[in-house]
Amino acid sequence: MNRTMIALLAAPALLLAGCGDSSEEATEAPVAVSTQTLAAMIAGDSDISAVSQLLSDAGLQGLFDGNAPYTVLAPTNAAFAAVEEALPGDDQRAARVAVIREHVLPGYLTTADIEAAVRNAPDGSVQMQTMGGAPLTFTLEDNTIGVTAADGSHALLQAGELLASNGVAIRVDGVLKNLDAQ
Amino acid sequence: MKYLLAAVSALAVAASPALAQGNGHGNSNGNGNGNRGAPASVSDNRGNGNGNGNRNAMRDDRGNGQGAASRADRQGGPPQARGNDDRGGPPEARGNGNGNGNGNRGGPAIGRGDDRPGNGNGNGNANGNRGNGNSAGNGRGNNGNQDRISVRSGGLVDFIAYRGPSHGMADGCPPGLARKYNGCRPPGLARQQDEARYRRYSPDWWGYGGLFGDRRGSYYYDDGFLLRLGSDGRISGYIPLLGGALAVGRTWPDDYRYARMPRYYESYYGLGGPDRYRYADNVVYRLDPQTTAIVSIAAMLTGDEFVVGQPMPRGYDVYNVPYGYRDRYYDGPDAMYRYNNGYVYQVDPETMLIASVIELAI
Repeated sequence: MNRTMIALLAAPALLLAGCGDSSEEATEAPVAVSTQTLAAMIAGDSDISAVSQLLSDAGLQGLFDGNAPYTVLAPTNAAFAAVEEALPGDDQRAARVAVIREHVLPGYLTTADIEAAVRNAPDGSVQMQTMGGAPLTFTLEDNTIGVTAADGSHALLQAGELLASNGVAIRVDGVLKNLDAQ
Repeated sequence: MKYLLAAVSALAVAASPALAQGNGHGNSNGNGNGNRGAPASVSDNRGNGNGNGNRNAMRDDRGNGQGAASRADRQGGPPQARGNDDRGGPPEARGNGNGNGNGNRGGPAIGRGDDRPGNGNGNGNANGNRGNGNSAGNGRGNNGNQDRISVRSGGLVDFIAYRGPSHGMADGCPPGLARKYNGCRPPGLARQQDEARYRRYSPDWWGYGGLFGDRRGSYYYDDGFLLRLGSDGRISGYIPLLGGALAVGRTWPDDYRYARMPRYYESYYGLGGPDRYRYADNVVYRLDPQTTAIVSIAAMLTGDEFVVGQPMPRGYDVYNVPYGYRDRYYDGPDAMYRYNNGYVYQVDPETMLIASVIELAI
Protein backbone atom coordinates (compact mmCIF):
# COMPACT_ATOMS: atom_id res chain seq x y z
CA MET A 1 0.00 0.00 0.00
CA ASN A 2 1.43 3.31 -0.93
CA ARG A 3 1.89 6.26 1.31
CA THR A 4 -1.07 8.14 0.11
CA MET A 5 -3.41 5.27 0.59
CA ILE A 6 -2.11 4.81 4.08
CA ALA A 7 -2.58 8.46 4.79
CA LEU A 8 -6.07 8.31 3.44
CA LEU A 9 -7.13 5.32 5.40
CA ALA A 10 -5.33 6.06 8.60
CA ALA A 11 -7.77 8.15 10.56
CA PRO A 12 -7.73 11.38 8.62
CA ALA A 13 -8.79 13.34 11.66
CA LEU A 14 -5.79 12.34 13.66
CA LEU A 15 -4.76 15.86 14.22
CA LEU A 16 -8.24 17.06 14.84
CA ALA A 17 -8.72 14.32 17.35
CA GLY A 18 -5.60 15.36 19.12
CA CYS A 19 -3.49 12.36 18.33
CA GLY A 20 -1.02 14.47 16.46
CA ASP A 21 0.70 11.72 14.49
CA SER A 22 -0.21 11.25 10.88
CA SER A 23 2.85 9.38 9.74
CA GLU A 24 2.45 6.43 7.49
CA GLU A 25 3.09 4.14 10.40
CA ALA A 26 -0.05 5.32 12.10
CA THR A 27 -2.16 2.40 13.15
CA GLU A 28 -5.39 4.03 14.18
CA ALA A 29 -8.60 2.53 12.97
CA PRO A 30 -9.10 3.30 9.31
CA VAL A 31 -11.81 5.63 8.20
CA ALA A 32 -13.73 3.93 5.50
CA VAL A 33 -14.44 5.65 2.26
CA SER A 34 -18.13 5.41 1.65
CA THR A 35 -19.66 4.11 -1.50
CA GLN A 36 -22.13 6.98 -1.27
CA THR A 37 -21.74 10.09 -3.31
CA LEU A 38 -20.79 13.36 -1.75
CA ALA A 39 -24.27 14.72 -2.37
CA ALA A 40 -25.81 11.86 -0.44
CA MET A 41 -23.39 12.16 2.45
CA ILE A 42 -23.91 15.89 2.79
CA ALA A 43 -27.65 15.41 2.67
CA GLY A 44 -27.39 12.87 5.44
CA ASP A 45 -25.39 14.99 7.87
CA SER A 46 -27.60 16.97 10.22
CA ASP A 47 -24.72 19.23 11.29
CA ILE A 48 -24.54 20.77 7.82
CA SER A 49 -28.19 20.61 6.84
CA ALA A 50 -28.31 24.35 6.09
CA VAL A 51 -25.61 23.97 3.48
CA SER A 52 -27.33 20.88 2.17
CA GLN A 53 -30.56 22.81 1.80
CA LEU A 54 -28.83 25.53 -0.15
CA LEU A 55 -27.21 23.00 -2.44
CA SER A 56 -30.58 21.45 -3.05
CA ASP A 57 -32.33 24.77 -3.66
CA ALA A 58 -29.66 25.89 -6.08
CA GLY A 59 -29.48 22.63 -7.99
CA LEU A 60 -25.92 22.06 -6.88
CA GLN A 61 -26.51 18.57 -5.58
CA GLY A 62 -25.94 17.19 -9.04
CA LEU A 63 -22.47 18.67 -8.90
CA PHE A 64 -21.64 16.31 -6.07
CA ASP A 65 -23.37 13.32 -7.55
CA GLY A 66 -21.23 13.05 -10.60
CA ASN A 67 -17.92 11.75 -11.75
CA ALA A 68 -15.79 14.75 -10.90
CA PRO A 69 -14.35 15.02 -7.41
CA TYR A 70 -14.88 18.03 -5.20
CA THR A 71 -14.11 18.83 -1.61
CA VAL A 72 -16.54 20.96 0.35
CA LEU A 73 -15.59 22.85 3.47
CA ALA A 74 -19.09 22.89 4.85
CA PRO A 75 -19.94 25.49 7.49
CA THR A 76 -21.88 23.94 10.31
CA ASN A 77 -25.45 25.04 10.79
CA ALA A 78 -24.38 27.39 13.56
CA ALA A 79 -21.80 29.01 11.34
CA PHE A 80 -23.98 29.18 8.27
CA ALA A 81 -26.70 31.01 10.20
CA ALA A 82 -24.66 34.16 9.69
CA VAL A 83 -24.99 33.74 5.93
CA GLU A 84 -28.72 33.22 6.11
CA GLU A 85 -29.07 36.27 8.30
CA ALA A 86 -26.98 38.52 6.08
CA LEU A 87 -28.32 37.22 2.79
CA PRO A 88 -31.87 36.06 3.41
CA GLY A 89 -34.61 34.94 1.11
CA ASP A 90 -34.88 33.79 -2.45
CA ASP A 91 -33.71 37.17 -3.66
CA GLN A 92 -30.31 36.61 -2.13
CA ARG A 93 -29.90 32.98 -3.04
CA ALA A 94 -27.36 33.84 -5.73
CA ALA A 95 -25.29 35.59 -3.08
CA ARG A 96 -25.49 32.58 -0.78
CA VAL A 97 -24.38 30.39 -3.67
CA ALA A 98 -21.47 32.75 -4.27
CA VAL A 99 -20.53 32.28 -0.63
CA ILE A 100 -20.66 28.51 -0.73
CA ARG A 101 -18.76 28.46 -4.02
CA GLU A 102 -15.73 29.68 -2.16
CA HIS A 103 -15.95 26.65 0.07
CA VAL A 104 -15.68 24.20 -2.82
CA LEU A 105 -12.24 22.94 -3.80
CA PRO A 106 -11.21 20.92 -6.82
CA GLY A 107 -10.38 17.30 -6.19
CA TYR A 108 -10.35 14.95 -3.28
CA LEU A 109 -8.71 16.42 -0.20
CA THR A 110 -8.73 14.68 3.12
CA THR A 111 -7.76 16.31 6.36
CA ALA A 112 -4.75 14.03 6.38
CA ASP A 113 -3.73 15.38 2.98
CA ILE A 114 -4.07 18.92 4.20
CA GLU A 115 -2.23 18.24 7.42
CA ALA A 116 0.62 16.51 5.64
CA ALA A 117 0.96 19.37 3.19
CA VAL A 118 0.98 21.95 5.96
CA ARG A 119 3.58 20.05 7.95
CA ASN A 120 5.80 19.76 4.91
CA ALA A 121 5.45 23.37 3.90
CA PRO A 122 8.52 25.47 4.70
CA ASP A 123 6.43 28.30 6.07
CA GLY A 124 3.77 26.10 7.59
CA SER A 125 1.02 27.18 5.26
CA VAL A 126 -0.43 25.86 2.03
CA GLN A 127 -2.94 27.19 -0.42
CA MET A 128 -5.74 25.62 -2.36
CA GLN A 129 -7.82 27.13 -5.08
CA THR A 130 -11.58 27.30 -4.76
CA MET A 131 -14.38 27.39 -7.28
CA GLY A 132 -14.98 30.96 -6.25
CA GLY A 133 -11.68 32.10 -7.62
CA ALA A 134 -9.98 33.05 -4.37
CA PRO A 135 -7.58 30.61 -2.74
CA LEU A 136 -7.78 29.39 0.83
CA THR A 137 -4.76 29.16 3.12
CA PHE A 138 -4.39 26.29 5.55
CA THR A 139 -2.22 26.38 8.66
CA LEU A 140 -1.87 24.53 11.92
CA GLU A 141 -3.26 26.27 14.96
CA ASP A 142 -2.74 24.49 18.26
CA ASN A 143 -2.99 21.10 16.65
CA THR A 144 -6.01 22.03 14.66
CA ILE A 145 -6.13 22.91 11.00
CA GLY A 146 -7.18 26.45 10.39
CA VAL A 147 -8.26 27.91 7.09
CA THR A 148 -8.23 31.54 6.06
CA ALA A 149 -9.80 33.13 3.02
CA ALA A 150 -8.20 35.86 0.97
CA ASP A 151 -10.48 38.43 2.61
CA GLY A 152 -9.35 37.35 6.08
CA SER A 153 -12.32 35.21 6.97
CA HIS A 154 -11.25 32.32 9.11
CA ALA A 155 -12.49 28.94 10.32
CA LEU A 156 -11.26 25.78 11.93
CA LEU A 157 -11.71 22.36 10.43
CA GLN A 158 -13.84 20.07 12.52
CA ALA A 159 -13.36 16.40 13.18
CA GLY A 160 -15.32 13.75 11.37
CA GLU A 161 -14.88 14.39 7.68
CA LEU A 162 -17.20 12.69 5.24
CA LEU A 163 -15.25 10.58 2.80
CA ALA A 164 -17.51 9.94 -0.15
CA SER A 165 -16.73 8.01 -3.28
CA ASN A 166 -16.47 11.19 -5.32
CA GLY A 167 -15.43 13.82 -2.84
CA VAL A 168 -14.97 14.93 0.71
CA ALA A 169 -16.94 17.16 3.04
CA ILE A 170 -15.13 18.70 5.97
CA ARG A 171 -17.12 20.66 8.51
CA VAL A 172 -15.82 24.09 9.40
CA ASP A 173 -16.90 26.34 12.23
CA GLY A 174 -17.00 29.57 10.28
CA VAL A 175 -17.83 31.11 6.94
CA LEU A 176 -14.93 31.76 4.61
CA LYS A 177 -16.36 34.87 3.07
CA ASN A 178 -16.67 38.40 4.29
CA LEU A 179 -20.37 39.10 4.61
CA ASP A 180 -20.05 42.69 5.68
CA ALA A 181 -21.76 45.16 3.44
CA GLN A 182 -19.15 47.84 3.01
CA MET B 1 5.76 -6.01 -9.02
CA LYS B 2 7.96 -4.53 -11.67
CA TYR B 3 7.21 -7.32 -14.06
CA LEU B 4 3.57 -7.13 -13.35
CA LEU B 5 3.58 -3.50 -14.21
CA ALA B 6 5.46 -4.16 -17.38
CA ALA B 7 2.88 -6.72 -18.33
CA VAL B 8 0.11 -4.31 -17.63
CA SER B 9 1.84 -1.74 -19.71
CA ALA B 10 2.11 -4.16 -22.55
CA LEU B 11 -1.59 -4.65 -22.46
CA ALA B 12 -2.00 -0.96 -22.42
CA VAL B 13 -0.05 -0.47 -25.56
CA ALA B 14 -2.16 -3.00 -27.33
CA ALA B 15 -4.99 -0.65 -26.81
CA SER B 16 -3.13 2.44 -27.82
CA PRO B 17 -4.12 2.50 -31.49
CA ALA B 18 -7.66 3.08 -30.44
CA LEU B 19 -6.55 5.97 -28.33
CA ALA B 20 -4.66 7.35 -31.23
CA GLN B 21 -7.66 7.58 -33.44
CA GLY B 22 -8.79 10.97 -34.38
CA ASN B 23 -12.19 12.19 -33.59
CA GLY B 24 -13.66 12.22 -36.96
CA HIS B 25 -12.63 15.39 -38.58
CA GLY B 26 -9.20 14.84 -39.72
CA ASN B 27 -6.55 12.56 -40.92
CA SER B 28 -3.56 12.25 -38.83
CA ASN B 29 -0.49 10.22 -39.09
CA GLY B 30 2.04 9.92 -36.47
CA ASN B 31 5.21 8.20 -35.74
CA GLY B 32 7.03 8.15 -32.57
CA ASN B 33 10.01 6.60 -31.05
CA GLY B 34 10.70 6.30 -27.45
CA ASN B 35 14.02 5.71 -25.88
CA ARG B 36 14.73 5.11 -22.33
CA GLY B 37 17.25 3.51 -20.18
CA ALA B 38 14.89 1.79 -17.86
CA PRO B 39 13.95 -1.83 -18.35
CA ALA B 40 12.26 -2.36 -21.63
CA SER B 41 8.62 -1.78 -21.64
CA VAL B 42 6.30 -0.96 -24.43
CA SER B 43 4.92 1.77 -22.32
CA ASP B 44 8.08 3.66 -23.06
CA ASN B 45 6.21 5.04 -25.95
CA ARG B 46 4.48 7.29 -23.61
CA GLY B 47 7.65 9.21 -23.62
CA ASN B 48 8.07 12.58 -24.86
CA GLY B 49 8.86 14.08 -28.04
CA ASN B 50 8.62 16.74 -30.53
CA GLY B 51 5.69 17.18 -32.69
CA ASN B 52 4.91 19.12 -35.76
CA GLY B 53 1.60 19.06 -37.30
CA ASN B 54 -1.05 20.58 -39.35
CA ARG B 55 -4.48 19.92 -38.20
CA ASN B 56 -8.08 20.60 -38.54
CA ALA B 57 -9.50 18.36 -35.97
CA MET B 58 -9.81 18.44 -32.29
CA ARG B 59 -7.67 15.73 -30.96
CA ASP B 60 -5.70 14.43 -33.80
CA ASP B 61 -2.68 15.86 -32.18
CA ARG B 62 -2.96 13.33 -29.47
CA GLY B 63 -2.79 10.54 -31.95
CA ASN B 64 0.62 11.32 -33.20
CA GLY B 65 3.21 9.03 -31.95
CA GLN B 66 4.22 10.09 -28.56
CA GLY B 67 5.19 13.49 -29.78
CA ALA B 68 2.02 15.38 -29.36
CA ALA B 69 1.87 18.23 -31.74
CA SER B 70 0.65 21.42 -30.28
CA ARG B 71 -1.07 24.13 -32.09
CA ALA B 72 0.85 27.27 -32.33
CA ASP B 73 -1.59 28.84 -34.66
CA ARG B 74 -5.11 28.05 -35.21
CA GLN B 75 -7.72 29.56 -37.31
CA GLY B 76 -10.87 27.91 -36.35
CA GLY B 77 -14.11 28.11 -38.12
CA PRO B 78 -17.34 29.12 -36.56
CA PRO B 79 -17.68 27.71 -33.10
CA GLN B 80 -20.49 25.57 -31.94
CA ALA B 81 -21.23 28.19 -29.40
CA ARG B 82 -23.60 31.00 -29.84
CA GLY B 83 -24.32 34.24 -28.18
CA ASN B 84 -22.09 37.14 -27.54
CA ASP B 85 -18.64 37.09 -28.94
CA ASP B 86 -18.28 33.40 -29.02
CA ARG B 87 -15.51 33.09 -31.43
CA GLY B 88 -12.48 30.99 -31.61
CA GLY B 89 -11.56 27.53 -32.47
CA PRO B 90 -13.68 25.08 -30.59
CA PRO B 91 -12.99 21.43 -31.03
CA GLU B 92 -15.72 20.97 -33.57
CA ALA B 93 -14.57 23.80 -35.71
CA ARG B 94 -13.22 23.24 -39.13
CA GLY B 95 -10.25 25.25 -40.01
CA ASN B 96 -6.65 25.06 -40.71
CA GLY B 97 -3.93 25.14 -38.25
CA ASN B 98 -0.29 24.66 -38.04
CA GLY B 99 1.56 23.82 -34.97
CA ASN B 100 4.87 22.89 -33.68
CA GLY B 101 5.51 21.58 -30.31
CA ASN B 102 8.30 20.27 -28.26
CA GLY B 103 8.02 18.08 -25.32
CA ASN B 104 10.77 17.06 -23.05
CA ARG B 105 9.75 15.08 -20.16
CA GLY B 106 9.09 11.57 -19.19
CA GLY B 107 5.59 10.34 -18.88
CA PRO B 108 3.89 10.05 -15.56
CA ALA B 109 4.99 7.34 -13.27
CA ILE B 110 3.02 4.21 -13.48
CA GLY B 111 5.03 2.22 -11.10
CA ARG B 112 7.50 2.68 -8.37
CA GLY B 113 11.18 2.91 -8.32
CA ASP B 114 12.72 1.50 -11.43
CA ASP B 115 9.45 1.21 -13.18
CA ARG B 116 9.20 4.88 -13.68
CA PRO B 117 9.38 5.77 -17.30
CA GLY B 118 12.36 7.62 -18.51
CA ASN B 119 12.50 10.26 -21.10
CA GLY B 120 11.74 9.51 -24.66
CA ASN B 121 12.00 11.24 -27.90
CA GLY B 122 9.46 11.19 -30.56
CA ASN B 123 8.31 12.91 -33.63
CA GLY B 124 4.84 13.28 -34.73
CA ASN B 125 3.18 14.72 -37.74
CA ALA B 126 -0.43 15.30 -38.29
CA ASN B 127 -2.23 16.46 -41.32
CA GLY B 128 -5.84 17.03 -40.88
CA ASN B 129 -8.30 16.94 -43.68
CA ARG B 130 -11.86 17.50 -42.95
CA GLY B 131 -14.21 14.66 -43.26
CA ASN B 132 -12.06 11.73 -42.47
CA GLY B 133 -11.20 10.29 -39.23
CA ASN B 134 -8.37 7.96 -39.76
CA SER B 135 -5.25 8.12 -37.88
CA ALA B 136 -2.33 5.93 -37.42
CA GLY B 137 0.24 6.26 -34.84
CA ASN B 138 2.99 4.48 -33.17
CA GLY B 139 3.74 5.19 -29.68
CA ARG B 140 1.90 6.47 -26.73
CA GLY B 141 0.76 3.74 -24.55
CA ASN B 142 -0.98 4.36 -21.34
CA ASN B 143 -0.69 3.27 -17.79
CA GLY B 144 -2.67 0.16 -18.15
CA ASN B 145 -5.70 1.74 -16.63
CA GLN B 146 -6.88 3.44 -19.74
CA ASP B 147 -6.04 6.89 -18.51
CA ARG B 148 -4.81 8.86 -21.42
CA ILE B 149 -1.48 10.49 -20.84
CA SER B 150 -0.05 13.11 -23.04
CA VAL B 151 2.70 15.60 -23.06
CA ARG B 152 1.55 18.68 -24.80
CA SER B 153 3.65 21.73 -24.86
CA GLY B 154 0.66 23.80 -25.74
CA GLY B 155 -1.25 22.85 -22.65
CA LEU B 156 -4.95 22.21 -22.80
CA VAL B 157 -5.38 23.95 -26.05
CA ASP B 158 -8.86 22.70 -26.60
CA PHE B 159 -10.03 24.12 -23.33
CA ILE B 160 -8.22 27.36 -23.78
CA ALA B 161 -9.78 27.78 -27.16
CA TYR B 162 -13.09 27.88 -25.43
CA ARG B 163 -12.17 29.87 -22.45
CA GLY B 164 -12.15 33.28 -23.93
CA PRO B 165 -15.59 33.24 -25.40
CA SER B 166 -17.14 31.55 -22.42
CA HIS B 167 -16.51 34.50 -20.18
CA GLY B 168 -17.46 38.07 -20.19
CA MET B 169 -20.09 40.52 -19.25
CA ALA B 170 -22.89 40.88 -21.75
CA ASP B 171 -23.52 44.34 -23.05
CA GLY B 172 -26.77 46.07 -22.54
CA CYS B 173 -29.64 45.23 -20.28
CA PRO B 174 -31.29 41.86 -19.64
CA PRO B 175 -34.62 41.77 -21.46
CA GLY B 176 -36.57 41.14 -18.28
CA LEU B 177 -35.05 44.09 -16.52
CA ALA B 178 -35.48 46.27 -19.55
CA ARG B 179 -39.19 45.79 -19.09
CA LYS B 180 -38.96 46.22 -15.34
CA TYR B 181 -36.98 49.43 -15.51
CA ASN B 182 -38.00 51.84 -18.14
CA GLY B 183 -34.96 52.44 -20.25
CA CYS B 184 -32.86 50.07 -18.16
CA ARG B 185 -32.40 52.74 -15.54
CA PRO B 186 -32.83 51.40 -12.00
CA PRO B 187 -34.52 53.75 -9.57
CA GLY B 188 -32.19 56.29 -8.05
CA LEU B 189 -33.02 55.26 -4.53
CA ALA B 190 -32.00 51.71 -5.22
CA ARG B 191 -28.75 52.90 -6.72
CA GLN B 192 -28.05 55.09 -3.74
CA GLN B 193 -28.70 52.24 -1.36
CA ASP B 194 -26.44 50.08 -3.34
CA GLU B 195 -23.60 52.53 -3.37
CA ALA B 196 -22.77 51.47 0.16
CA ARG B 197 -22.68 47.86 -0.88
CA TYR B 198 -20.53 47.93 -3.96
CA ARG B 199 -17.99 45.78 -2.29
CA ARG B 200 -20.51 43.04 -2.08
CA TYR B 201 -21.78 43.63 -5.56
CA SER B 202 -18.47 43.96 -7.31
CA PRO B 203 -17.39 41.19 -9.66
CA ASP B 204 -14.67 40.32 -7.17
CA TRP B 205 -17.14 39.54 -4.45
CA TRP B 206 -19.05 37.25 -6.74
CA GLY B 207 -15.92 35.41 -7.77
CA TYR B 208 -15.86 36.93 -11.23
CA GLY B 209 -12.96 39.24 -10.64
CA GLY B 210 -10.59 37.13 -12.64
CA LEU B 211 -13.01 36.63 -15.49
CA PHE B 212 -13.86 40.16 -16.32
CA GLY B 213 -11.22 42.62 -17.22
CA ASP B 214 -12.99 45.77 -16.22
CA ARG B 215 -13.78 45.76 -12.54
CA ARG B 216 -14.29 49.47 -12.39
CA GLY B 217 -17.62 51.14 -12.33
CA SER B 218 -20.71 50.71 -10.30
CA TYR B 219 -22.37 47.40 -9.89
CA TYR B 220 -25.81 46.53 -8.80
CA TYR B 221 -27.60 43.31 -8.01
CA ASP B 222 -31.15 42.64 -9.03
CA ASP B 223 -33.27 39.68 -9.98
CA GLY B 224 -30.37 37.28 -10.12
CA PHE B 225 -28.19 39.48 -12.28
CA LEU B 226 -25.01 41.38 -11.51
CA LEU B 227 -25.54 44.62 -13.35
CA ARG B 228 -23.04 47.25 -14.34
CA LEU B 229 -24.27 50.78 -14.28
CA GLY B 230 -22.99 53.25 -16.79
CA SER B 231 -22.17 56.83 -16.00
CA ASP B 232 -25.67 57.81 -17.07
CA GLY B 233 -27.22 55.50 -14.52
CA ARG B 234 -28.39 53.05 -17.12
CA ILE B 235 -27.58 49.37 -17.05
CA SER B 236 -24.70 48.92 -19.44
CA GLY B 237 -23.84 45.28 -18.88
CA TYR B 238 -24.82 42.22 -16.93
CA ILE B 239 -23.88 38.78 -15.77
CA PRO B 240 -26.57 36.22 -14.97
CA LEU B 241 -25.54 34.67 -11.68
CA LEU B 242 -25.32 31.07 -10.63
CA GLY B 243 -28.24 30.44 -8.31
CA GLY B 244 -29.93 33.61 -9.50
CA ALA B 245 -30.78 34.17 -13.14
CA LEU B 246 -28.99 30.89 -13.80
CA ALA B 247 -30.86 28.83 -11.24
CA VAL B 248 -32.65 25.56 -11.68
CA GLY B 249 -35.92 26.13 -13.46
CA ARG B 250 -34.84 29.37 -15.13
CA THR B 251 -34.47 29.34 -18.86
CA TRP B 252 -31.14 30.27 -20.33
CA PRO B 253 -31.10 33.99 -21.12
CA ASP B 254 -31.51 34.22 -24.86
CA ASP B 255 -28.80 36.77 -25.32
CA TYR B 256 -26.21 35.42 -22.94
CA ARG B 257 -23.23 33.74 -24.51
CA TYR B 258 -22.09 30.25 -23.82
CA ALA B 259 -19.68 27.84 -25.34
CA ARG B 260 -19.41 24.22 -26.18
CA MET B 261 -16.86 22.28 -24.23
CA PRO B 262 -14.25 19.97 -25.66
CA ARG B 263 -15.44 16.43 -26.09
CA TYR B 264 -13.33 15.16 -23.26
CA TYR B 265 -15.19 17.41 -20.88
CA GLU B 266 -18.52 16.39 -22.34
CA SER B 267 -17.60 12.81 -21.67
CA TYR B 268 -15.95 13.31 -18.29
CA TYR B 269 -18.78 15.35 -16.86
CA GLY B 270 -21.43 13.25 -18.57
CA LEU B 271 -22.97 16.17 -20.35
CA GLY B 272 -24.55 14.50 -23.35
CA GLY B 273 -25.00 16.43 -26.54
CA PRO B 274 -24.24 20.10 -26.90
CA ASP B 275 -27.91 20.98 -26.75
CA ARG B 276 -28.10 19.59 -23.25
CA TYR B 277 -25.77 21.95 -21.47
CA ARG B 278 -24.39 25.43 -21.38
CA TYR B 279 -20.91 26.38 -20.30
CA ALA B 280 -20.31 29.91 -19.13
CA ASP B 281 -18.21 31.62 -16.48
CA ASN B 282 -16.61 28.37 -15.34
CA VAL B 283 -19.90 26.66 -14.61
CA VAL B 284 -21.60 23.96 -16.65
CA TYR B 285 -25.39 23.89 -16.54
CA ARG B 286 -27.54 20.99 -17.64
CA LEU B 287 -30.50 22.04 -19.71
CA ASP B 288 -33.74 20.62 -20.91
CA PRO B 289 -33.00 20.75 -24.62
CA GLN B 290 -36.63 21.46 -25.45
CA THR B 291 -37.19 24.37 -23.13
CA THR B 292 -33.58 25.41 -22.39
CA ALA B 293 -34.56 25.44 -18.75
CA ILE B 294 -31.72 24.70 -16.37
CA VAL B 295 -32.23 21.37 -14.65
CA SER B 296 -29.06 21.11 -12.59
CA ILE B 297 -25.48 22.24 -12.22
CA ALA B 298 -23.20 19.74 -13.89
CA ALA B 299 -19.75 21.07 -13.06
CA MET B 300 -17.71 23.90 -11.73
CA LEU B 301 -14.29 24.63 -13.15
CA THR B 302 -11.52 26.57 -11.54
CA GLY B 303 -10.47 28.53 -14.57
CA ASP B 304 -6.83 27.80 -13.84
CA GLU B 305 -4.68 26.87 -16.77
CA PHE B 306 -2.26 24.03 -16.49
CA VAL B 307 0.17 24.09 -19.36
CA VAL B 308 2.81 21.46 -19.90
CA GLY B 309 6.21 22.99 -19.53
CA GLN B 310 4.85 25.87 -17.51
CA PRO B 311 4.80 26.22 -13.72
CA MET B 312 1.87 24.76 -11.90
CA PRO B 313 -0.61 27.48 -11.02
CA ARG B 314 -0.59 28.65 -7.46
CA GLY B 315 -3.14 27.20 -5.13
CA TYR B 316 -2.56 23.51 -5.55
CA ASP B 317 -0.31 22.78 -2.63
CA VAL B 318 -2.34 19.88 -1.31
CA TYR B 319 -2.54 16.45 -2.90
CA ASN B 320 -6.04 16.19 -4.33
CA VAL B 321 -6.08 13.28 -6.74
CA PRO B 322 -9.47 11.52 -6.90
CA TYR B 323 -9.86 8.58 -4.59
CA GLY B 324 -10.00 5.99 -7.34
CA TYR B 325 -6.67 7.08 -8.80
CA ARG B 326 -4.58 7.44 -5.70
CA ASP B 327 -2.92 4.08 -6.04
CA ARG B 328 -1.61 5.14 -9.43
CA TYR B 329 -0.84 8.81 -9.04
CA TYR B 330 0.75 9.63 -5.73
CA ASP B 331 3.38 12.08 -4.71
CA GLY B 332 6.95 10.96 -4.53
CA PRO B 333 10.44 12.39 -4.86
CA ASP B 334 10.31 12.28 -8.64
CA ALA B 335 6.80 13.33 -9.37
CA MET B 336 3.79 14.84 -7.78
CA TYR B 337 0.24 14.85 -9.04
CA ARG B 338 -2.56 17.31 -8.85
CA TYR B 339 -6.14 17.19 -10.08
CA ASN B 340 -7.91 20.03 -11.80
CA ASN B 341 -10.98 20.17 -14.00
CA GLY B 342 -11.09 16.54 -14.99
CA TYR B 343 -7.38 16.01 -15.50
CA VAL B 344 -4.54 14.84 -13.32
CA TYR B 345 -1.28 16.64 -13.92
CA GLN B 346 2.15 15.33 -13.26
CA VAL B 347 4.41 17.97 -11.81
CA ASP B 348 8.14 17.97 -11.31
CA PRO B 349 8.64 18.52 -7.57
CA GLU B 350 11.92 20.34 -8.10
CA THR B 351 11.01 22.75 -10.83
CA MET B 352 7.25 22.71 -10.23
CA LEU B 353 6.83 22.58 -13.96
CA ILE B 354 3.96 20.57 -15.35
CA ALA B 355 5.30 17.48 -17.05
CA SER B 356 2.26 15.81 -18.48
CA VAL B 357 -1.50 15.69 -18.58
CA ILE B 358 -3.48 12.60 -17.72
CA GLU B 359 -7.01 12.13 -18.89
CA LEU B 360 -8.90 10.03 -16.43
CA ALA B 361 -10.73 6.96 -17.47
CA ILE B 362 -14.46 7.36 -17.56
